[in-house]
Amino acid sequence: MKVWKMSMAPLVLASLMLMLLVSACGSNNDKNNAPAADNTASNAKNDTAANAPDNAANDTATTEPAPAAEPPVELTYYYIVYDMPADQQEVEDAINAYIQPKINATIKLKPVLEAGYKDKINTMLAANESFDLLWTSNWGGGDYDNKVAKGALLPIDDLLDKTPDLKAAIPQVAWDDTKVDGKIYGVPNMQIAAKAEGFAIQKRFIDKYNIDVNSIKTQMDIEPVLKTIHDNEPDIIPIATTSNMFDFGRQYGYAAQGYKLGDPNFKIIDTTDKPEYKTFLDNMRRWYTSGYIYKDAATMKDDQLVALLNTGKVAVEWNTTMKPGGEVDDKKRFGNNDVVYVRVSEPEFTGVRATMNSISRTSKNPEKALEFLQLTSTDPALFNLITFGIKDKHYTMVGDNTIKINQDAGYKGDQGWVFGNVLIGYLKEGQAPDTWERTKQLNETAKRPEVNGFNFNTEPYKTESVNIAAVSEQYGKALNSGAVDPAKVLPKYQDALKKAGVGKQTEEMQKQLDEWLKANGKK
Amino acid sequence: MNTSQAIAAESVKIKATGQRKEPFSVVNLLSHILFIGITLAMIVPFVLVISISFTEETSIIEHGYQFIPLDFTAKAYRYIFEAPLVLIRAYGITIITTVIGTILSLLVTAMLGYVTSRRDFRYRTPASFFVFFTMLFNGGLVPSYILIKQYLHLDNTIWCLILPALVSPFYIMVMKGFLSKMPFEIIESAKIDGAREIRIFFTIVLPLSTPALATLGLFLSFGFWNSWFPALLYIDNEKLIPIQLLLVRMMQKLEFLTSNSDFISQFGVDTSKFPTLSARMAMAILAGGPMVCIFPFFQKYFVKGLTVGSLKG
Repeated sequence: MKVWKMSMAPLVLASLMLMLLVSACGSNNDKNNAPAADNTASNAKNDTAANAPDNAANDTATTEPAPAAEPPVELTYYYIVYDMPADQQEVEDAINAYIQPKINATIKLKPVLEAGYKDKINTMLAANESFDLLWTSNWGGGDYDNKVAKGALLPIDDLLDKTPDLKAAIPQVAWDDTKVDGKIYGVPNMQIAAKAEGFAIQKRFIDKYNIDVNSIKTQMDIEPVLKTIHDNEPDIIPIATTSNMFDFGRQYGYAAQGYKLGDPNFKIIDTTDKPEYKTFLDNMRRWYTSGYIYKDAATMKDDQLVALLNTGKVAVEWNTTMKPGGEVDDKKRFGNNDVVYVRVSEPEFTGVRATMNSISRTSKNPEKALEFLQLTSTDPALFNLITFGIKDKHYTMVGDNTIKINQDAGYKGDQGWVFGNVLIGYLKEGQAPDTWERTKQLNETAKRPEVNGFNFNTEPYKTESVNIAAVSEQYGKALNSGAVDPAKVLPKYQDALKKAGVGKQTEEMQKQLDEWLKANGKK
Repeated sequence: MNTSQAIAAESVKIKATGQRKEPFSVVNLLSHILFIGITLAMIVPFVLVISISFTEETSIIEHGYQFIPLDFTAKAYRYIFEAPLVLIRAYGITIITTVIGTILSLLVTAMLGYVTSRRDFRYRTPASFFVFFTMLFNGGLVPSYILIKQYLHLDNTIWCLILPALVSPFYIMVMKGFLSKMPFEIIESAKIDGAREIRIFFTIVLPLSTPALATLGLFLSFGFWNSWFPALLYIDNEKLIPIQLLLVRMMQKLEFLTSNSDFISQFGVDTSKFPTLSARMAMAILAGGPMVCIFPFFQKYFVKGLTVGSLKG
């Protein structure tokens, strides 16, 4: 008995450690196996669901109530919001009342504030939690590439055949842009997919000084305007921006990928090595020393710029979107002063990865989920409901297709770009009636980049790109805003970039681009 | 703030005794200067935060941060109190979790620490090891998430804010260390007087360990007051959001703005409603303020807990 007691402690210890080890390994295995197991599971579900009565496709075409034989499924939809709507439940009930007869499904809306979107969704995916829809993007918390790489999203190519309306509602070029290794993992939310560069100018100064906006054809043409404002309005800051006005060099004849347009070799050149960049910096330096550029521009963060614009003291802002109807949104940003857009570059198609909705691998009803997305992309009634809320409560009609959002009610997020096709939705008060037509037209006519559909995979040069970002933060901002003398600082900047590995990054980018060009027969 | 106040209190003490007993010495002077410097380095930013929260936004942009607001206004606080219900509810949640969490956690910590400190407990070593082991190895985020959400179904309840943080192995080790210095004879004499284990624990051990409990209680309550990540992960119900998560949300809007300005203009996100700088500072004051006020009440135990090393009777 005594002996047994003595041996007890090490035994307990040993078994404890063994148990912990086993459980640790076990959970690891689980994690590794999860996507694979999941994959087969959802495939199996696909099959059974596909064999089930084909009422899904029929239902969307006709508005007849679904056969009562099948109980309605509940979909869960996680998406990003910037303010938690107070009347969420009410709107959700209205949506369910609307969609249940159509697709025999109800939806549970799960808005997540942008502050925790990425963490929360990634944890849920890692935990293999069962849900159906989630918002994805190539920026912010959307994390599209990463989620595709982890196998968290369901490829929807085959499912799309069952939702022909959805397939037709979105142009092929947009579908192509969402593809990763030839498969579609997201339904793009159609909105403005083209960008142009230009200036947003406060209208009161245009009127006051009789500025001829048609004479502004290039970036440098704004200089006389800035001079006029600087000389006559001591309280006003002529121009403020935090972004690099050289940008990707579209203004100066370069593609966003970094090669000179028209170059048959598609040779990628780093920004600082472009000869035009030096000229640009000299111009910026002149603007800065003349007092046109806000003196703190070099250290200003975007949120400070927003605050500065809100005061209404900025006359001109460099704008890299120039979307039709954007003047209405910008009026608010400029402290309620009307602005005029002056475009100085050709609009260029920028792709649709900025906002998409994807189906989770863990979804139990991927077809229903896709049918829901079909509705948000093709059915204006549903899209307007989920975007603007309930009529006469959350918004009032002020025109045929124009509404005024009720700022005192509990659903004023105005985030149509998260849910679906904004081009089928209402217009906001102040937007021109033809805004959507112009947007559609812009999307269609915007110049397709020669390498349309190509996206860099940043994974191989992640370390370098982080280092380069840090160096650019240090030198680039001060240079681009003219706060320092380019003759002295540019060589230092180039030196620091070399040390940060810009050579390796360019090489890797070139390699990826060359491969793509070869695969697409362009080289 | 807290450490700075403690240090300040210490230095005041040193000063008071120094004046009476010791003549002027360079070492003393230098250490005073050093501590005054450290104290200032901690207090000054806090004062700056307070004054920014009372400054007009345009004045911040034009003149930068000022210690004395050029343009005094309480606008930022009005902005936050526009929806007082949200704030009051968040305070309520935070206070409930802090109070319940601290009390429960102290109880569990004291019990576990006491049991593992008793030399006559046969499985003392394995039990201590079991606690210690979790300090070195733990399941990590995803397994805890699965446990709490999929097995215990604690999501969207107040318990998911309390239970996961209830047992902290480090505090148990501290408690054990404190209690193991307590003479076993006290417990034995209580036993002779006829007390059973429960009674010994509640009427002898707990009262004798007030300094340790106060110190740990302070740390624990800070932990509960400042925690927001569990709420972010497990809470979807807006009515159960603690105050710190509100603060984090406000602060991260700034980060969102700084990294995504391109998309903001593309989508037309209405930035005019975003919290201003002074509003964010006001929120920081509101979220941290109550704890700053509570600290002085704990302070005497705090200092005692550090200095009272034994209970030699």
